[in-house]
Order: sequence, then C-alpha cells, then structure tokens
Amino acid sequence: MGILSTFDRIVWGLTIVVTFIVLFIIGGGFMLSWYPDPIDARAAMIKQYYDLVYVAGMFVSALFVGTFFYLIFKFWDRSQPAGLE
Amino acid sequence: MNTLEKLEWATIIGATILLFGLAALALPVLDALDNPDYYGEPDYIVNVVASQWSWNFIYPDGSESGELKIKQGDIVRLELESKDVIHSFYVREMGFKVDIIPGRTRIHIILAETPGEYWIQCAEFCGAYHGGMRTKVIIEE
Repeated sequence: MGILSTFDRIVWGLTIVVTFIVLFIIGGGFMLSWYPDPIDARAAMIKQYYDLVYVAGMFVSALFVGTFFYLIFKFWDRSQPAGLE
Repeated sequence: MNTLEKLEWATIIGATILLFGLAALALPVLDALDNPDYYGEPDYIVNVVASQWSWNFIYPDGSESGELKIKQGDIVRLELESKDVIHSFYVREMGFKVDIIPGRTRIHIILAETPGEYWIQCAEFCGAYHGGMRTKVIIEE
C-alpha cells in the first residue's frame, strides 16, 4: 500500500481540488478577468492561450499549495506544545 | 519502484509534458504576434508617429489625425516610429503591444473586425505625462 492509504489519497486529491477552486475564486475566474473581450480573431487566439496558461498555472499552484496543506495537517504533531499556552 | 519514486517520476514527467505542451501551443501565438504578414496583403499603410506625449496618424492620402480611424474589414499595416524616447503602442482589445524604439520603424498589421472605439495607450513609461498619452482607434462600419 505504501506510505499513503486510499483514504489519504482521497483527502489529498480533495485538498488539491478545493485549493484549485479557492484560487479560481480569489483570482476572479474568467468572468471577472481584467482582460477585455477580444475584437479580432488573432486577439481571441491570444486570449485563449492566456486563459490556458492561467488555468495551467493555477493547477500547478493548487498541486503545490494543496500538497503543502495536506502534509501540514497530516503530519503536524499535535501532541507537541505550540509555545502559545 | 516505491511510492516516493513513483511520485517523483510522475512530477518530473508531468511538469515536462506541461512545459513542452504550453511551449508548443505558444508557437502559433508568437507567430501571430510577430509576423508582419499575418493577415496577408494590407489594404493600405498608416504611419504612426509617437512623441512626448501624443500620437499622430498619417494616412496614405497625406492627411493626419490624432485618432486612428479605419473601416471595418480593412487590413492595415501600421508603420510605427518615435520622435524622441521609447513608447509602446497598446490596444488591449487587440491583444498586442508594440514597443517603438527611436530610429527604427516597427511594423504591425491589424485587421479591423469589430466596429467601435477602443483605447490606444502608451505602455512604456515615457515621461511626466505618460499616463495621458492615450487616444482611440475608431473602427467604422
């Protein structure tokens, strides 16, 4: 089974999906994007590529940030004092 | 191969596919941006003269205006020059910027597809009134 159980993998995957959705919302999504509607075919093609890079970048960010959150919550040793008591 | 090694390889291969995939998809976009013949033979040429802090458009018949006026469907070759410092010709809705370097003529071709008025903004800091160096491209039906 390795280090991660099936449950772990599901939680990890969900963490990444939720992080992606949060990034999408705080990034404004497509509807609120600052970039205006293109007025010719070339501009439409350029915007389409920008949108693709935007989503790919968000996916990679979600992968890293989501994994970071998942690791913190899974391996955080709560038995140790936090120093705030 | 244990789980960590699998994960490592999945990350390396995934990142490589993403990188090369995006790079391959960027090629036609770069061609569209840089190719002065992208739309084919132009209907006419407009000379664009940028100076601190105004735009001047010179049409084939010798007339001049402070706004770029073109007809819908026209393929227009812009020949851009600067009188003084570096400026940048930027129309957001058309998705491009062209840096205009003094002493050089930059060429960019546009196709007026959608009628309307759109801002042209200098996108390279060019002095005190850089922010006010804007005019309009007017595409008439």
